[in-house]
Amino acid sequence: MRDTRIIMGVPVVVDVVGGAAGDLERVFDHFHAVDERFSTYKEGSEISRINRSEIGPEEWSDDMREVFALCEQAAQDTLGYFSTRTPEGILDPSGVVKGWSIKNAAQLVESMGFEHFWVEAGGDIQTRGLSELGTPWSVGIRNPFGAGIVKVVYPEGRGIATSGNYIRGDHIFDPHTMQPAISDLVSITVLGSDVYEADRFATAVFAMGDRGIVFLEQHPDLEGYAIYRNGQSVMTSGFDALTMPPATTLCAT
Amino acid sequence: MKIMKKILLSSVLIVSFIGYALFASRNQDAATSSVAQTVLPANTQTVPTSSQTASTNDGSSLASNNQKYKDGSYIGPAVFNGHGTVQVKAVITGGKITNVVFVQVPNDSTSAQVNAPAMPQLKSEAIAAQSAKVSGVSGASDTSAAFIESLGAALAQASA
Repeated sequence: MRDTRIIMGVPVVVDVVGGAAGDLERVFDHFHAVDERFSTYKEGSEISRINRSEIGPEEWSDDMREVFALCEQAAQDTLGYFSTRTPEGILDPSGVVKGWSIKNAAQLVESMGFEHFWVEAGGDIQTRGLSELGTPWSVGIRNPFGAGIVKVVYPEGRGIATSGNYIRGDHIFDPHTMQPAISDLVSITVLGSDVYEADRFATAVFAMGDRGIVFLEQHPDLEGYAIYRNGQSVMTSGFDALTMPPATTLCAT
Repeated sequence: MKIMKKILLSSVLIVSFIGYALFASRNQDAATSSVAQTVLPANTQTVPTSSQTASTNDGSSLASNNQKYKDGSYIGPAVFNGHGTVQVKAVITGGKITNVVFVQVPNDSTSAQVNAPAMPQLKSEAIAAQSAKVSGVSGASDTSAAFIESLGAALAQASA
């Protein structure tokens, strides 16, 4: 069963093969709870209260502590290109929260006994198993210049996330200069061992501009597909293999 | 004679450069025009730009699939976000939101040559539209007020 809700300001898609409406509700509730805690748009959220200095680090929730520890790790793993502070000085861990919350949602679905599902928030996706049709899950990479898709990927359990400036303009900042990252890079899709890995690197490599795809190539567990302003794409050496339909292991009967 | 040679060489270089620049820009136009399609399905309804806007800017109260929407595709207004316009289309099937897609993208298009890093194992190609059916799409997400405003108006249409 599949459903889509707008939560955290993005379409959240939950597709659980063999699941019922109540199962999906539990997953959406999880995302609502994440939104209540981490949304910088909600005045009463924990992150907003932290930013107004209403609560200090000793009063942070366990989830908040965990997310900030992950943010520290992400900054180290990305040479400082992952940043938790906006140019205005606001603490914003959303670069980690999205992938972290999808990963937790996937673990929730697994704990409910399901082996085949698709959990997504705003284009960051974690899949497991096969679709309702018994075929491998397939993900289209959005055309950054208009309608449609420009690539089909079979993640086979990997996580996938795409970062880009074709919607918000230059909302990705280079934390080293605190200026918009100037580059011809329009969109970069990252595949990692899970959606948390893909998501935390996606924003950071976008901020690296033209060097982002090189960073992905040099990282053993990541693959990537970068699209530039002139319609050219560059992909890591292991990416092509992910565009080939895998042999289906379930036989149609 | 030396001066003549210099002038001749400079002229050849200048003409070559101009020739290359024209060639390169012609190829870029070809690349971008082949992907800049925004084809809308026949049952699309457009929304006048003076539609109501969402009351919050976090999107969480925008849509609840407990509410019944009328089937169809509903396009919200094109909202300026400071860089370009954001316009979304909400697709309703069986009374529920089944997809949210972007209709327009901000376009500050100054095409430039890509300086692809010189790593021979990196493969480069022009992007091309794919017609395959997929389970879903990965693209940059948008939490901006413009997105939420356009989507809110589209969903208001679907509830009307």
